[in-house]
Amino acid sequence: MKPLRLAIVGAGEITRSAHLPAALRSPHIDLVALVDSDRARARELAHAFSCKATVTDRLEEVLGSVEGVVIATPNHTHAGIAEKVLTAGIPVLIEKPLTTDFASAERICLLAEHYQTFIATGYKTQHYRAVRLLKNLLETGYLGKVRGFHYEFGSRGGWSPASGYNLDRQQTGGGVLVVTGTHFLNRMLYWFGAPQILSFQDDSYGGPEANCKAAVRYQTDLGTFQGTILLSKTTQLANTFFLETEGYHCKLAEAETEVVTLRPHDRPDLLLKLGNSGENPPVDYFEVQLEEFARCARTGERPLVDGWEGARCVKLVEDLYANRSQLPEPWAWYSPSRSTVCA
Amino acid sequence: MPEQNIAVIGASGFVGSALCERLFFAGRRDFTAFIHDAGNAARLARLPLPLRMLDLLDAAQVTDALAGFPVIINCSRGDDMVRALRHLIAAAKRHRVQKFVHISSTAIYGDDPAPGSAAETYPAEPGANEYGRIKARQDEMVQALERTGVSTYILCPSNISGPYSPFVAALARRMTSGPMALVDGGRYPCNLVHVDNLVQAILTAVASDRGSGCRYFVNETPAVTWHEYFQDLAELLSIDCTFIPVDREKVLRRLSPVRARQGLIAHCKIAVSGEFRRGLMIMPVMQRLNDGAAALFERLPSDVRQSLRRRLQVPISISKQDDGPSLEEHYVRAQVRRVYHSPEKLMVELGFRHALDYRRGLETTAEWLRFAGLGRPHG
Repeated sequence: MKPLRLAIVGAGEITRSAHLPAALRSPHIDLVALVDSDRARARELAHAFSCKATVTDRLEEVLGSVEGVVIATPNHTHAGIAEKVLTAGIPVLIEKPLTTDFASAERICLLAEHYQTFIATGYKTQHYRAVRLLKNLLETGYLGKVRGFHYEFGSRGGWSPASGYNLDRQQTGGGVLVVTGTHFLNRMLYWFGAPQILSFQDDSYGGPEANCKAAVRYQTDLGTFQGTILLSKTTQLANTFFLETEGYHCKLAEAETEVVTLRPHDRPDLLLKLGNSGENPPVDYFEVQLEEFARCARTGERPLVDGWEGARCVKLVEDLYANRSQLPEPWAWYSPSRSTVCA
Repeated sequence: MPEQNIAVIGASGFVGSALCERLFFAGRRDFTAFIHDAGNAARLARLPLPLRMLDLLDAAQVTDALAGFPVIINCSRGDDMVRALRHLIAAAKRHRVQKFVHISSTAIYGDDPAPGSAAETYPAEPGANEYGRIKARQDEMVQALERTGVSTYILCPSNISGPYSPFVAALARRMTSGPMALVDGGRYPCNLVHVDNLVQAILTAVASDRGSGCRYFVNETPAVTWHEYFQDLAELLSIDCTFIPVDREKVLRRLSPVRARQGLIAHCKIAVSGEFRRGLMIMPVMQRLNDGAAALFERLPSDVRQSLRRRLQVPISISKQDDGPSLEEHYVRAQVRRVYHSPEKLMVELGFRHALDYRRGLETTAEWLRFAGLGRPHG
């Protein structure tokens, strides 16, 4: 198959660390353009990777010569850039979150349909072998009915985009829920579908929240159960998905992309690891995602996470924020969010 | 728009964030939070505060950024702390700053502080403690700034506890993972000060019109031993914590820097080692030299080659495995310090009062640790 002629829009940190190396490595991609409103930054990035792609600050200049576009810019700019690309009938892979509001997510999805092209959303974790294996185990009934789950992900600091846009709620569309949490929300939608929201708490005082907690409820063929989610940008957490089913305690650690760990209820002395044994070299899932995008552009296949999947996630984020209450911080005796313990 | 009086440098760090939060919730808007980058600022970014990026290693940027601030609070850490402070001090002089509050550390007295270091006037003796050396150098620079007419306050905590404390988070994780080393029965003072008390000390220094040019210890009162701290934290977190007794002298021996073997033969052995040569051979000229040397070596008689190999061979050394707890861990090394760095001078001369007493501070720490998934709900 002929390599897909690709443009990457955005020469920030995610392009430097993920999209550009993946594009340059893949035999299915021919990177022909690097676009950024800061042309000097794009030129510097191209130089750093000895990349011969055209460098420009005007997307319109390159639309006539590409067959696909990756959008890796600050979140609030995704929709506007996507409109330009889709209107030219060119497919886009948009970094998560798809957009910062559901209305614009829906608009670009309809636009893609109108121009008979498609959107892929950059939820690379849905491509993980362990994530798809768990979906299969759930659907085939191997694990029995679901009883509940808990997911937590947290780190001290982390992602530092070149523009610093993550400090501005208008530009990100939210805080830790959007920046790191939507990866899980997307997987949760993939495994279980849309939940009923029981509660959502975050620690925002106007800026993007650093910590949040959510509780959701499901009533599906997989069972009637509740789940809790804890996300943090200030605190190292276990970074694991814990699932209780009729038959097993299941665990998916973020760092283990290939393996589902099971402990049978009736044999707690057994620990079963399903999936890849880990002897193969580590998989670059940005490359997997990009190659899937190229394949879909060539064959007309539907991507694993299309625009509507991305839009569904944006809707869930909006719904969670709509149910927001202040996260208690009983340790912060000087703030209004302290509990009675320290009041 | 309130007048901006206070520049908080290193605002997104552990201490800087706690300080800015405290100021913000006290309704104060007379400060500006300077951060190094966006990656570590999540705790601050949730507040509706303007955050200003500042690269402390860029002298011109620092000078421009600090114009108009009568008070600078330096909570910064990171690479090249001495150069960063040099730029801050240059800006402070240039703009005739009135007050400069600097966070130092009792690491300036090394890993095993001398008894005399119970008083702030004792000269710095960091020994092999690299962080302590840097902090001691910084203290000298701040003391020199005082002599130019700027009021300076050097606040000197040891390890810092409280919500978001990396030290305590690591400690609590360690407590849940198996028996802990307890040095000499854990009888020495832990010198762990709650971050909110350190913040209180900063605010006290900012408000004070006396006592400048001095170093002040910041600590809890009365002194708390390591054993007390471990037990109290374990109780609040409902952790079953067990201990393995460790002799202080044994830990001190580990703290002594291991000297590399010196001498011509040792250097020759390194030079002919495979690892060293493989590194050098990235350069084509070194590859050619190596090939030439190898060809010459192969021309030597067999017995000479074998004799040379024997002489240059590094003997294989296998030590007995130590089945006790690791003595390398930070919390173990901290336990050998026997000196209590009392905050009495801070209390008497500047009128410092703790924001939280020891027990209340520990409760806030435990609340946060439970949020972080460590320990079980109490009661």
